Amino acid sequence: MKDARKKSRSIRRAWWLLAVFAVAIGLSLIWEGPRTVYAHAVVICLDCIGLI
Amino acid sequence: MRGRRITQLTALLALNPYFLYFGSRSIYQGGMKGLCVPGLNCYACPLTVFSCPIGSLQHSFSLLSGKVKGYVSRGLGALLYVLGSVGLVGVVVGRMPCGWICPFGFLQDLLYKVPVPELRLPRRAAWGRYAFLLGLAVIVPLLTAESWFSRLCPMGALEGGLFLKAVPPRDPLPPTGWFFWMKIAILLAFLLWFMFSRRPFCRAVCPLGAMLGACNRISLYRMRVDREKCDTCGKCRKVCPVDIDIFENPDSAECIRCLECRRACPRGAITGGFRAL
Ligand code: SF4
Ligand code: SF4
Repeated sequence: MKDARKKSRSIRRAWWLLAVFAVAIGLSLIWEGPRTVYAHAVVICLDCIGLI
Repeated sequence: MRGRRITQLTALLALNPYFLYFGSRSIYQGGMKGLCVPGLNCYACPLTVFSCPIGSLQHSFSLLSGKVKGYVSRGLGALLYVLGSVGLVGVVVGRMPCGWICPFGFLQDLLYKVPVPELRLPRRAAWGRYAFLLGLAVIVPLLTAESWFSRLCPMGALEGGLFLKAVPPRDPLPPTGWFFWMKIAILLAFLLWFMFSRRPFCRAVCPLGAMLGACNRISLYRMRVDREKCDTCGKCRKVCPVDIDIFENPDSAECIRCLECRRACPRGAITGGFRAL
């Protein structure tokens, strides 16, 4: 009984967190998050290849 | 070939399908490059069409450092986007992408097959990946606006550095200096280590592994060990790519959910599955 309650609480928590992360992605659009990531990714990252 | 190897190989090709580079000699610029995939796959690699979450995370903190005027809000946007993307995956499957998708994990699995004596990692090595996450991927970019994890990353040296040297882009790159060779030396040291230890980079270094692993405890996908059936024979540990006793803690942040232990258990004590679906 206790175990079942614990399990359902943790499943609920996971769904809440899922919603929180989805909202984070939604909010990121306000400050151009995906576009900022894109703009950085389409130029060759000189840090990554050791040619700084 | 077994299912996991086929999946790892398919993921490697799916993450790096841009063979047009060999003709155009310019890296992929399409919209998918804005998507962070849950695996260590360098976005400087000419064949890749996605973004590296750890490179993007460092870039977010570099912008948040305020050293480039007018870009702080964009840094916040990028940070929310990266954390949201990694978090979504983590809450659903935890560290499973490490076991099935990540090309650098795949490389470690393959090199460990070289028949040399095993060098076991102590458990406390796991703290390393949190230190790298917090130190090199968060604090240093925030203070210096420079991406020091990327600068030292062996996957960048392999997929970006060596590849771009071998097949150079149309626009010339800056000249190679000592730093490039130091990066290659780091790569070689890791490649050697991969032969002796089970997934040492994943266990002791990778910041993405740290983030996804932290989600193992809360994710919808979970490993289960039936204590009635398990007689702690240790056959699971023998096949485990990260060298853990799953029966001690099925939610361990080390577990990459590769399910090798499930196959190896003679008593069928280990299972994995979604809890609420
Ligand atoms: S921990 Fe290993 S498998 Fe997971 S993202 Fe990092 S390098 Fe890849
Ligand atoms: S405990 Fe099992 S599922 Fe987890 S990493 Fe080891 S073998 Fe894979």
